[in-house]
Formats: sequence, C-alpha cells, structure tokens
Amino acid sequence: METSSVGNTNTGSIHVLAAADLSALLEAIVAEGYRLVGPRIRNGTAVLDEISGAAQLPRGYRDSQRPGEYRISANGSGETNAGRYFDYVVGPTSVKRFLYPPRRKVLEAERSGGQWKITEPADDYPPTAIVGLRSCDLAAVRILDRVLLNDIYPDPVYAARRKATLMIGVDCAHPSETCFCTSMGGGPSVESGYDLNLTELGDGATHRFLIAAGSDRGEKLMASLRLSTATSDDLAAGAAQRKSAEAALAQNPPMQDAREVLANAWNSTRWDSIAQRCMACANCTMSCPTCFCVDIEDETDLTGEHADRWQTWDSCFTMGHSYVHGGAVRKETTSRYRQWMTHKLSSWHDQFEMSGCTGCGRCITWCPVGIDIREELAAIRTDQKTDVPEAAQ
Amino acid sequence: MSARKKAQSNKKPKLAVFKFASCDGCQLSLLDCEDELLDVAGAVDIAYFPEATRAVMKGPWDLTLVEGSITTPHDAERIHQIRRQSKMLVTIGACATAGGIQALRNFGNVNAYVSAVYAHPEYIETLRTSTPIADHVKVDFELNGCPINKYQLLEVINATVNGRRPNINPNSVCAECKLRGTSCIMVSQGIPCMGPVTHAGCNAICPFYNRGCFGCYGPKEATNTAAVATRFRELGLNNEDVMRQFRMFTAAAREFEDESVAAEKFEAESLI
Ligand code: SF4
Ligand code: SF4
Ligand code: SF4
Repeated sequence: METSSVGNTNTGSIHVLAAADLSALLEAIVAEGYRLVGPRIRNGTAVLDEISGAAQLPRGYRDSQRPGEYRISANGSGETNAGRYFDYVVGPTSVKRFLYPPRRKVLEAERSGGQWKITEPADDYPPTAIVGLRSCDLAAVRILDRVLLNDIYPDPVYAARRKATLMIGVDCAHPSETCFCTSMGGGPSVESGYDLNLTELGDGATHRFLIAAGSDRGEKLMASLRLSTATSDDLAAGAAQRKSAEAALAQNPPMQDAREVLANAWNSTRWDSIAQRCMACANCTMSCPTCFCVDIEDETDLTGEHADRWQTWDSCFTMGHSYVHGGAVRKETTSRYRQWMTHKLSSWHDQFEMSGCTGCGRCITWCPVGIDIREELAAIRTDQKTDVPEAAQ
Repeated sequence: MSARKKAQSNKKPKLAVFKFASCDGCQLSLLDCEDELLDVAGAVDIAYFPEATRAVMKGPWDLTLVEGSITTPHDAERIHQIRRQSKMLVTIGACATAGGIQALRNFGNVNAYVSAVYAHPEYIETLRTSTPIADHVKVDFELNGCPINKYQLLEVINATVNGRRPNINPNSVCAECKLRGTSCIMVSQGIPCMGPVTHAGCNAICPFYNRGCFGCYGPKEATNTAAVATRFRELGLNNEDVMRQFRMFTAAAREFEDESVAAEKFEAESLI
C-alpha cells in the first residue's frame, strides 16, 4: 500500500481549469488506463456508475433530500446553475460499492480423490478513477482503511482495490438537508484523501474549476492539462462558496458529545420509540459508506464435490447477524438499532480510535420511514438529562 | 457427471412432490430448471411427481415438497398421510406457506362465493378458509414466493442432498435492492413499496422495474408492518389502499393479515 501517494493533503498549488476542459481531464484519466466512474442519473437518482466521459455527468441538476425522501431534477431549484456539473450531493451509492463490493466469491473448493483443492478466485477490479467524491466519501475511505487495512487482519482485496483507485474529489456547493459532515468534523470542502480535487465555480461564461493535486498521480495528470494560475478572485470565489455551504450545514444540532451520550444510553426509553418506527429493513446500513459487516456463506453443487464461499454485505439489523449457537442475541429491533447507532457514533471510537460516521446523511435520506440519527441523538440526550437525578449530575 | 456416478454407487434420496390448492406454478419451477434438471434427476430418485413422471414409488420419502394450501376436508386429511411418510417436508410457494391468493376467501363468506361461481353449489365441499400447510402438520422448511425462485428451490434440494442448511436469506427485499444497486423507489419516487416488510428471495425484481414490491414472498423475519403502513398513509394511501397492499398473494400470513384487518378497522372507525 503506497499510502504516500494516496490520501495526502494538498501538495501542489491551486490552478484553474476551464469548464470546457473537464472533458480533457477525464480523457487524460482514461488515457492513463483507468475505468471512469462518476455520478450519473439512473431512475431519478444520481448514482455512482461507469461513465464514458464528461457528457454523462448530470449537468444542471440539483437534488433535494429529506428524511426518507430524495428528488433530483435539472434546474429543479429554479436557480440558474445552467451547465454546472456537481450541484447535487451524495446519492444512494457510495465508494464502498467499489472498494468493498456487495457480493464477492472468496474461495472455491474442488474435491477429487478425497482431497480438497482450495483456490482463491482472482479479483476482476480494473484500475478505476472515481470522479465527484465528496469530503464525506473520502472520510469514509479513511474509516474503511482503518478497519480493513490497518487492523489485525488486513483485507487483501480491499488493499488492492484501494491502490488501483484514483480519487477525484469535488467540494460541495449545496449541502442537502440530511448532510451533517461538519458535525462530524469534516466537509463541506475536501481536505485530504484525494488525488485531484475540484472546486466548481461560476456558470455560463464564468464557469471554471479550481484544481489541486493531492498525490503524485494527481500531479502527473495536472501536468498534462491546460491550466492557469488561480487569481485572488478565483480563490475568493471558492472561499465564498465554501462559506455559504457551511452556513447551510450550521443548522445541524451539535453532535460532539455523541460518544459519551451513547456510551451511557443503553437503557434509554428512546430505543423503544425508535423500534416502533424502525422496520429493521437494513437500508441504512447498506447505504452507509462505512458499515462493513458481511456474511459468509458456503454453497455446494448437487454432487457435493464443488463448493464456493461467498462474502455478502450483511447488516446488524438482521437476525442472522447476532446468531450464535441456540439463537439470535439481538431479537428485538430495540437492541438492533441501539447496536447500530452506538457502534457508529460511540464504541467505534473504542475500537478504531475514530467515529464510524462521516455525516453523509445517507442513512437518513434512504431510510424508507425517515428515521434521523441526528434527531434520535438529541432525543436520547434529552432523555438522559431528565432521567438522571439532580445529585448525580 | 459425478452426480450420476455417485448416484449409482450410493442410495439416492427419494423425492416426492405433492399438490394441494394451487396453480402448479411452483412445482413447475422445478421443471423450469432446464440446465440443472438432469443433475437433480441424477442426485435424487423422483418417487412421486405427477407433473413430470408417471412412475410412483411408495413412501417413505426423504424429501417431500408440498405445493398448495388446505381448502377441503379431504386435503386436511391427505396432508397428514403425506407427513407420516415424509422424513423432511418442505412447503413451497405462497399457497403452501401462507394460504395463497385463495385465502382472500378467509376475509369473506365462502358460501356466497360458491353459490355465485358454481351452477350446482351442492356438489362443492370446501372449507371456510384456505390455510397454510404448517397450520396442519409440522413443516421442516418453508420456501416462500409466488412463484418460488427456482434457484432457491435448487438450493433447498441441494442442501438436503448434501446434509446442510439451505442458504435462504430471511431479510428484507430492500437488502436485495441495495445489493443489486437499485435506488429505492419509495424514497426517490414516493412509490408505495412492500419491500421493507417482505421476505427476500426474488432478487427485488419489481423495484428494479419501478414497481413497488407486491409482497409475494410474505413477511420477512421480525417484520414491522405498522411502520410501513404509516409511511404508506403519509404517501397518500387511504385505509382501503393500505388494506390492499397487505391483502395479496400472502394475505393469510399472520403479520400481513393483522395489518390488513387493522386497516379495515381504522376505516370502519373513521366512518362512525
Ligand atoms: S451513519 Fe449515516 S450519516 Fe453516518 S456515515 Fe453512515 S450513512 Fe452516513
Ligand atoms: S433505521 Fe430506517 S433504514 Fe434503518 S433499518 Fe430502521 S427503518 Fe430500515
Ligand atoms: S424499492 Fe422497495 S424494496 Fe427496494 S429498497 Fe426501496 S422500499 Fe425497499
């Protein structure tokens, strides 16, 4: 893992890329042998998927996200953002889908003459450039790195995919109502973890990008582009855009005390109220860019001479997740939601010295009944304040 | 190839397939396994399967697949005889596991239907309700679906032959949407979808085609139907619409039945 070239903060100076030259950047990336992945509209959502070039990016689109609700449309906000490429925020897919796929065969076994021969199938992940990653996406990569690379048992497939992935970040101009990255200590602009980062400025005749490299791979790509040095006006425009994005995020409730609040909340009455609304459907965990739980299943063919072992995304909301000999430990949704939220925001610190949450808001938007982790934390905190007798405070 | 070889040397498990009130669709899924059918035929002795062969081998059977629900006094008897002859009894499909579409009669008056449909209602001997097999005899495994997924059926046969538990996921249809990368249509388009309360197994076909899940696979494990019903109402469904969401192919599955009855009750109360 050459961490030196992946995941550093800005090493180079900031330049300006003309909006019309975004295609030139993407073409340069393809010429380097990368498969191109970026946001594109599918079934009324901006998903991360393979794209052929800049023409497939959702230009002029804005999204609106609320608990349990997502909409995206071209110029839906009524504002003029004609031709801007990245005016929406994260959609249902995350970088996890690429680095840590939903389903993967981890081994094959063949029996002949009473002997098992076990082979590891080769991973078929091509060098991939992901365009349009947000600050919270790159924060998720840092968390996944800690869990899957820098722990006792590193995941070799994750390591290889991570190395083969070029990360092109984008600063967020219009956070959605479900975004709360700043409450989790990041965003809305990209700070680190990118190979290249873009700040989209202006529209129409003033449409341009600030561009900065965060790795050698990024520097090399930049060197091949037609760029100009950023003027103080360009930098001021970037700062102003950042300020307005931060203002939109400032309405979020404080969450800095999440670790302590949840560490002492195992008997909060709030868990029961959540369980009445929660369907244990697993949408939150599967949408979350950092939830890493998987299930391992063995499949045999009819002869019993051939077996495959599969790794599939699992969720702490399933009964099987807490199954031990004799039954599931977390039978009630009460304890499953508590496990999820407590792990994400509190015990993750104990386990990995960091929070498990980036504040991307996917678990809020993509919960079909709109359960909001921010609101639940606030309610649990209030609960504690009213529960604890005066003397104990 | 080795399936057949092994089959010649070992004693093969005996498979029987029985039908009760149903459309035959589920047992036909077995014949639909064209590529795998010869392997199945090599791995088991098909002892009784009228849709496929005229051969009849007496019980006991190692694996008995039962399709259909119990709707007549005669069938209520017959299923006990089958159970006595079956080592492992697996019910397949919405009829056998949840009473099927014909369980809609449970919510009406069956005699009224009989007189409306048949010229000579006096010849018809039927029960008031359509009930799942598990209401009558012990069932070792239930394979949900309307119709069942043929790959899941193969997995059940395969697991039984190899003496292991079948890998059949009891989670939500939503988990399948997420795995295959379908963006949630309830969240992004406001389409009412039964996915969050429905048992996985179909690979979330309907949401992929922009259609809300119909609930064909019945309730998922530890389901919360009231929560999704509340969401349906927020999306503009009235009590009758909510009742219909839950009263489809698996209307008599307990959790779905309770929710559809509750919706009817709300409606009745709102009219007072
Ligand atoms: S817990 Fe929610 S907000 Fe936090 S990273 Fe996961 S999906 Fe995003
Ligand atoms: S919080 Fe929402 S998305 Fe998560 S399991 Fe509960 S209902 Fe499903
Ligand atoms: S479309 Fe339906 S099944 Fe799929 S995630 Fe949404 S609610 Fe669940």
